[in-house]
Formats: sequence, C-alpha cells, structure tokens
Amino acid sequence: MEKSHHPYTYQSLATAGACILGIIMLCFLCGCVATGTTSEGTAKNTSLSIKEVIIPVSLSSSITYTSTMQKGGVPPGIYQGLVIKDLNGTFDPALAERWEVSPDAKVWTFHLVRNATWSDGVPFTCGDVKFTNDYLKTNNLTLAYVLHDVETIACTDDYTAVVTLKTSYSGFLDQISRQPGITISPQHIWENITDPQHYADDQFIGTGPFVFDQDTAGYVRLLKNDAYYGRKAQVSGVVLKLITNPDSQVLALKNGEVDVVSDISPAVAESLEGEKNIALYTINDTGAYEVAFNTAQYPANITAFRRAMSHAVDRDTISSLFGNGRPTETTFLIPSLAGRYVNPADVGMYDYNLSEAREILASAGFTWDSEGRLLGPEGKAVTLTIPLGTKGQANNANQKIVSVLKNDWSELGIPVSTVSYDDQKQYRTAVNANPVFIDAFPVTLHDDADALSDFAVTPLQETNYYNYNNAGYNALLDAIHTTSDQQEIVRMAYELQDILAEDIPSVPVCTSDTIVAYRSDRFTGWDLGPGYYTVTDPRVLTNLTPVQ
Amino acid sequence: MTRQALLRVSVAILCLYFAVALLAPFIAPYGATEIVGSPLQPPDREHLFGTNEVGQDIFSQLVYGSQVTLIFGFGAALLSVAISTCAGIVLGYYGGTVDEVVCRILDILMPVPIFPLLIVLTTFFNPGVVQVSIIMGVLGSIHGIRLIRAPALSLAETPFIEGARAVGAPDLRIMSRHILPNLMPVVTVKFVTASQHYLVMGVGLSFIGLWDTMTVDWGSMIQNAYSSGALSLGLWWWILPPGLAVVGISLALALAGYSLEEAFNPRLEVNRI
Amino acid sequence: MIDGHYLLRRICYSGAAFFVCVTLTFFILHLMPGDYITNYLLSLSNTLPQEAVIQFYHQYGLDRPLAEQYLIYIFNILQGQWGYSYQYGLPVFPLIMKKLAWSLVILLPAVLLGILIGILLGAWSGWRSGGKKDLALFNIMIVVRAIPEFWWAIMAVWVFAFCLQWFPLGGFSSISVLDSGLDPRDVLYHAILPIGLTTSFVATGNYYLMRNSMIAVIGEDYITTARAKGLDERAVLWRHALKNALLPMVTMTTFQVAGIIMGNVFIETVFSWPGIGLLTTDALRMRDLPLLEGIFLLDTLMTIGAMLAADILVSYLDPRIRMGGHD
Repeated sequence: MEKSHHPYTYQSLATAGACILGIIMLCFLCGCVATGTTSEGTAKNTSLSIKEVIIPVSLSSSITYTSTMQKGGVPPGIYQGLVIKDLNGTFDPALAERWEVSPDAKVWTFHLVRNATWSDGVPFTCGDVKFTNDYLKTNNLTLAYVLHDVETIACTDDYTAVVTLKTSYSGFLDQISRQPGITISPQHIWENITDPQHYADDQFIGTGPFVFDQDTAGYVRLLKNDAYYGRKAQVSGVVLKLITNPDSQVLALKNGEVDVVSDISPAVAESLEGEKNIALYTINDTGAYEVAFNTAQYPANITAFRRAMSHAVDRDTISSLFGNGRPTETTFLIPSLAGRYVNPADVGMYDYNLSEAREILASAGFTWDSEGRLLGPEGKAVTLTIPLGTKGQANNANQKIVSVLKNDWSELGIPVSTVSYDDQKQYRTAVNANPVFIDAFPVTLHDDADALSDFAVTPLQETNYYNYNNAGYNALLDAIHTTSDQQEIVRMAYELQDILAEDIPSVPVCTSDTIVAYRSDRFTGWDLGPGYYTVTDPRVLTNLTPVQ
Repeated sequence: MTRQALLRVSVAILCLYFAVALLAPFIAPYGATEIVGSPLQPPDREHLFGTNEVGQDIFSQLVYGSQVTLIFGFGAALLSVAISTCAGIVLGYYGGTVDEVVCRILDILMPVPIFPLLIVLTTFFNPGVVQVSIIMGVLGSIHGIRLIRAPALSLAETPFIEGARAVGAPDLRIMSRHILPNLMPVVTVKFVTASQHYLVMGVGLSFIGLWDTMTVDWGSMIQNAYSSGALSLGLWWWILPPGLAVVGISLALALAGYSLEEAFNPRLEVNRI
Repeated sequence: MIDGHYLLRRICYSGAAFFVCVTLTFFILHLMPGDYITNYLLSLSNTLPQEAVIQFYHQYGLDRPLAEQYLIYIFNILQGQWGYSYQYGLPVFPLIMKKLAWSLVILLPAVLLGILIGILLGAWSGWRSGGKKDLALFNIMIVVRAIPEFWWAIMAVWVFAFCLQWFPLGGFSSISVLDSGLDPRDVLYHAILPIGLTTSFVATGNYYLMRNSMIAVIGEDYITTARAKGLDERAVLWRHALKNALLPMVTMTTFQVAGIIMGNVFIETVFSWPGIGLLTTDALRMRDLPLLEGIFLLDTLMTIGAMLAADILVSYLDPRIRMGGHD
C-alpha cells in the first residue's frame, strides 16, 4: 500500500493536539463559568421538599453501623450516656438528672431520669445501667475497658445507680462521657443475645431524641423520637448523606442537596460569604496542636534545649497560616475550654524569641560550627527528623507548622526533615525513637485538670509519649484523682502547670476552629457556641428549627 | 518510517521534562514547600500559576514535583525491565528444569493483585518514593519476565547460538554479546511502555496518598487541589497544571512506545493491558 | 474435545496455586507492621489502655502463634467461615458482597461493553490497518489511554457535573431512595458517567490487542489461501480472520473480567461510589486483617478460576494447544 509520510504524522499530531486543546478549552470554560454558578432559591434536585435535615459525611466507614455494644459505631442521636461533657469541666445531665460523689471520689450516685423510655416503649430503669456494665464485662467486649475502673454498680431503686470504683478517680465523669465514653444499652434486648461480638443490630433501640429509620445506598435516616423524655427535636428527622469529596460537599450545599457543610477551609468560607441563602459560623477551638519532646532522646533530654526551643515556636505566624483558631499561650490547657483550671501565672511563658533561644542554648553548652550548624555540649550535631501522624493531616496543619519551624530552626542551625505515618503504631514507634514530634489532639483532651494526666506515669499508664516521669507530678495527679474537692483540684492543677512550665515536655502551638456553612433558608439553630464540636451533636440537632 | 517525526517529537518532549527535573533548582523561583504568598492567589507576575491554599507557589511545586514523579516512573521501569531482561535471558538460554520451576512459580504469583500487594509491601518500609519504586519494579518484573523469555528462548535455539556454544564460548559472553543485543528492540519498547505505565500509576498512587503525603509531586498536588476547593471555587490554575503535565509526559511516552514498536517489528505482540 | 488428563492436571495445579497464594497473603498480611486496635484506640484519645489491647488480641486469636492462627484460618475457610471484620465486627463475606454489588453496578457493564467495543473496533481497525480511518482511530485510542484514568474522572466530574450540571456529583442515588426505594433509572443516571469512563478505558486496551492480533492473522497463509479461493472479503473476515484473531484475546478478557473483583479506587473516590476498591484501601489503612484476607481470598479465587477457565476455553477452541503452560 502506498503511504505518503507527512499527512499521517501530521494527522496523528493534529488529533492528539485537538483532543488536548478541546479538554483545555472545556476546563477554561468551566473555570470562568463555575464561579458564577450558584443556585438561586429553588434547588435543582427539589430537596427543598425534603423535610429532614440533610448532613453530608465523608467516610463510608462512619455510616457502617454494628451495634452499641461493639466499637463499630452507631448512628448519632440514638443512644445516650449518663452525662454529657460541657466546657470548663462541667457536665450536663443526660440519662442522669443529678449526681453526687463521695469525698474520696470513690462512690458515685446517679439519680436517673424517671420518664425515659426505649424507642420500643419499654421504660428505662437503673437495671439497664447495671446490665450494661455487667454485660460488657462478662462478655469480654472491647468497650469494657471504659468501665475498667468500676467495681460494681448497684441499683438501690429503679432510678438510682450507685457506682463504686475500684480506686478513687475524680475524673470518672470525664471517662464515661467522652472519647469514647459509654452509652447505656437496653437490657431487654441484649439479655437475649448470646453472641454479642457478632451481632449486627439493625434496629438500634435507644433512649435518645432520634430513632433509626433506615440505612440505604449511602443515606442514613433518623426520625424524631416523639416519646423522648427531654427536649424533643423540632425537625422531623435527620438524613446523613455520603459525599466523599469535601469539595463536592460544598457544591452540594450550593445546589441545595445538603443543608450544612462543616470543616470548610477559610478560603472556601470567604467565597461563600454573601451567597444567597448561605450563612456561616465558627466553632472556636476544635483542634489543638503541639510541638512535643521525647525527653528520653537526645537532645530533648537536655532541659535547656527544650527551654530554648520553647522560644523558637512562632505561633503567631503559624496561627495566621491556619487562617483560623488562635495561638495557645498556656503550658497545655486551652483557655476557652479549661477556664478556671488554667494557671494565669504560667501563661505566656513560651514567647517567640529566637535570640533568647540562642542565649539559652549557648549557656547550656551548645555551640555552632563554622557552617552554622548546632552542636551539642559533647560536640554532637543536632539534626531532627520529626514524625508526623494522621491527626495533623487535616487542612494541611502539619505542613503549615513544619514550614515555619523549618525556617526558624534552620536559623538556629538545626536541619529539620519530616516523615509522615499513616499507621498509629508506626507513628508511635517513630515518636519513641526521635526527640521532637508534632501532635494534634481533639480539644477534649486539653480542657480540664484530668487532661494533665497526659504527662503522668500511673500504674495504668506506665509510660507516656513524652517519656516524662516526674515523681512530684505523678503524686500531685494522684492526689487530684482521689479527691472531689473542686477547689483543691484547681489548686493542684495550678501546681502541675508550674511544673510543666519548668520542665517543658511540650510546647502548645495553636488551636484551629471549625467553620460551618449552612443553608439559612432551611434550618436555623446550628450555632450553639463553643463546646459543640460537630454538627451531628444531638444537642445541636435538637436545637434546629425549620425556617418557615 | 511513517512515525519517525512523531518519535522525534516525543523524544524532544521527554528531554524537555528531564531538563526541567534536572534544572529544577534553577528554574523554580521559590522552594517547593516555602510559604511565599497569601493563599489562593490567582496567577500573576510573581507566581506564574498562583499559590495554593497554604501559600506555596504552584509553579515551583510543579517543577520540583517533576523530580519525584519522574524518579518513580523511570526508576521503577528501569528496575523492572532490568530484572525481567536478566531473568528472561537466563531462563530462555538455559531452559530445562530451572525454566520449568521458575515458570511455575511465576504462574502462581501472577494472580496476586499488584495494587494491594504494593500497598501492603510499602508498609514494611519507610513510606518514601524510592522504596515504593523499588517494590514496584520488583513486582512489575514478574509480568515482564515472560515477555523477554519468549524471544530469548527462540533465539537460544538458533543455529548461531548453538554454534557459539559448541565452539566453547562462555555462557555469560553468549548471553551478553549475542542474545542481549538482539533483544534490545523488545527491551527498549518494554522500557518505554513500562515507564509510561508506572509514571501514571505513580501519580495515581500519590493521588490516593500511598507515600508520605508531605512529598511534593504531581499526584499530591492534584489531590490537594481536588479536595481543597479547586473545583468548587473554579480555580483552574491550581488543578490543571499538574494534571496537564502528567498528560503531556504520558502522551509523549505512549507515542514514543508505539512508534518504536512499529519501527522495530509491527508483528511483535506486546501485552499491555 | 478436551482431554480428561489435561483437565485434571489443570485443576490440581490450580488448587495448588490457590493454596500457595492464600498462604502467602496470610503471612504477608499478618507480618504487616501496625495493628488495628492501636489505630482504633489512639484515634479516640492519646492513651493506649493495655487491657483493651490484650482483650482484643484474645478475642481475635491474635495472641496465639502465627502458625496456629494460619491453621485455624485454613480450617475456617474450608468450612466457609470467612471471619469477622475488626473494624465493624460484621461477618466478612456479606460485607464484601454488599460493597462488591455496588462496584459491579459500574464495573460489570463497563468491562463487558468495553471488551465488546474494543474487540469490534480493533477487528475493524486491524482489517483496514494502515488506512486513514484506522490510523485516526488508533491515534484517538492512544490519547484516551495515555491520559490517566483519575484525570479523566476529575475532568469529567468538573465539566459534566460541576459546570454543565448534566449529571450528579456522585453517590449511588438521589435522596428519594429513602421514601420510594431504589429506582434503577436513578441509579443509572448516577452511574452513567463512571460507566462511560471505565468503558472507554477498557475498550482502548482491548482495541489495541485485537488490532495487533488481527494484523498478525491477516498476514497468515490461510487468509491468502481463502482469498485465492475466491471467497468474498466479508466471508474471509468472519469465517477465518475473526475467529483466529479472537483466540489470543480469550485469556486477556477472562483476566479482565476476573479483575473486576478488585474494584477501581479512582472511580470510586472521584464519584463518591464506595465499593470494593475503597473498602480495600480503608481496610489496609486500618489493618483490618480478616477483611483483607477475605478480599484477597476472593480475588485469588476469581483469578485462578479465570486462568482455569481461559485455559479450558482456549484448549477447546484451538485443538492445536494441548500441553499447558508454555508460550
């Protein structure tokens, strides 16, 4: 066959070029058009006709449910514990209306709600509380560890539960109300189940303000519990919709397919301001970050090094990179959440001052070589590999902190490199092998005196990640656990923070906020102020009212 | 040949990419992770492609990212083809029981899915690009051995090779001096197509976050842009550059591969699904 | 017809391969660093209560020696007991099936259509190889194949779902499913974009192989003979060329169909279509060993089954092939 050379090669080039050009043109078109597409008024998919609140979730695993006795997860708003944690170490009643504690913090008496019923009509009694504790332990279920402190639960009558702990623990309420806390399960259902470890619940009978309706094709629907004993929900129900990409969630909000999107970046929030029917609010201080030291590794085993580096964390710049949240000037606790537990004498101790850092290093025997690299007292060069974990990956928090630290610490002559780990065990092993690490916490671990146990060594927690073991500190913390005198606890918490300011096992950096956008033409009542960390918090859901 | 010009163009494009990767420190105006501007600035004179949501210069990230992407693609391909070639030649030349046994082992290893196995094996090491590319190279060679072995086998049975053996030439000499050069066309084509395959796979793996997410490469740039607002805010300059860069080199490699293949032997069957 | 000995040998061999694969995956998975309970407990707070870890290990038999765990695992597998997931506590097999069903909604039509289209276009292209239309089609296919799949997906979502709003952004179905149940048309509307993309991608690979195969066949002597005999072009194409060109495709296509089982992570991520692909990557991240073992077991079964089926089909179709294995 006769083939002339040029037409075919040009043709193929032309075809390839045309394809690419076509794609680029379309993309440009979209770029110009997308910023202008907003939905005005009526949403495309007529979700305005949907009466329930539609909330997007991004992980398929978070809407795969097992049962309340297992760690697989249950839908929100259905099950309840005895108390709910609020700010400043206070607790709100849930299934327990009020409670008392013995002076030695060993016996807790809960007076339970009297008119609560399970969603199948059976009344809730103290027997359910006792049953939950006994059942978890006899069947050796994973969640039993939350109640490991409990010796016995006795029911003096149908609505009074007396919990006796094995050893005094003033933070008991904390333990049963958060991370993960314990919810009460119905005795009349679970006493008939012989294999709880493999039982897949499909009914989710609980006492909460919502009842489970169905779970299909990426949607979970909860309906209002009309027989709820407390403040009933004012919406007819809640739908959780699976949208894996955070960006698509924002677009779904614009289209009216969902009613709220949480955890949006400041840039996106800015672009949503002024949009018709979309309102924004901020939940302050939902995440906390720290630069922490492993005091068993060189050079973090030298107190002067830690003290010097505490003046080398430019938290103002880092916080401005975050775009929200605020720098944390305390030794560990977050002021807006821990309130009275924060020792005012220890605030602002880690001010950013690189020359002071240099001075402290120099006076501790550190020197710099001809290339400006930092050398330890014995002449060993200081290089840092900082392990990063998954918790700091959200919103590129790790990157923001590291970029600022790298700059500043290289001025001090310390080269910094990082390694990210997806797996907790590998991360923790790396933490143990390196002197400095960056960690992110949920703020509920920074909000009261008990949070300071992070730095303690107790019989139950034989080591901590800072490898910090201070006898005085441990003794003080033990004393806090064994008393229920609030004033004593605050006083001792102050002392603990003094010790922290001396030894500096960790340098808090800043907190981050959660920005939430919602459709103001659908439901209001989302913003309850600080302390309500997620939009699926039952207290938020029961506060929502439809816009008429 | 009909595809000569196309081949030249492809090679030119590849050279361009390599040049950018090698000269990255000179071409990029800023560091890859340096925070140099306010977040999400559109392109202007200071920032050719604007800045991302942290404030890093996208153009610099693109330039530095090419290094990681190219290292993975070509590194894994090189390793994979090297192992396949050596193993294939050895097996084809010696034949016999060794050949039988190894073929059986390969048959057993073929059904194991590469993608999840790659992810599993990566956890054993530090999550770095070099480690993943080595693992990928080894895993990829499993499929390639068969392809090299076939022509090597038929070559080994030619009278020419048999004559060389009869004369007493050492095996290694025969394999390297006589068999290998004749296989170069196959090997070259395999290398080019493997590079394209692994390069794209590398970007994909980075997109789903297989290795250190702090690494700056095209896959992580796309992932970042995709989930942090490029689409909903319409920021084409954030998400398009890395994607088009991948498309560019992928096309160049694909076209080069096909041209080479047709140039050497249009009848040659190269499995590529 | 198929030789009985050959069949038996192939089946025995497949069985052996199956066991070796299962053993390998079991040990590799269990030797992976990191474990689930640490991930789970540390995601809740910063402490690792030892008693919870010990209890978990005991509950799932992880405190026994590895060899014993392996034997128990094999014993359970042979009884059809696939174990319970660490993450969810649910039985592994139904969990996999549920997610697989959704993956199949996209992948089954896409792969089958893709194979069909690829083969037809490839045959046609190979038949007219060298012609203008052939080269044009060939170039288009190269471009389609060279662009990464996830890039196609992102661009498709951007253009068709974000900008033009012709298709939904993702998800299995619209919210009406809660009240009126699953509507096939609604699911189809949600699945069209991913199916379209996957079909195109699958088609390119098959197109290329079929075209090569066809070109090789055209050069064979029997085609020349057929033409010399005076048969018209169409008869030559259908009766001789196509059948012989299809032969090398059999192996490839069975592998592709078997490969559906692993899902497609990129399509699932971009289109919010959590199926078996995302299940696998999540399980890997969380070190959910029973779930992973189940997924790999299923995949091994499918692949070895596909190999066996391919071998049998090929030996049935082509009487020249009798001894197994060698190229």
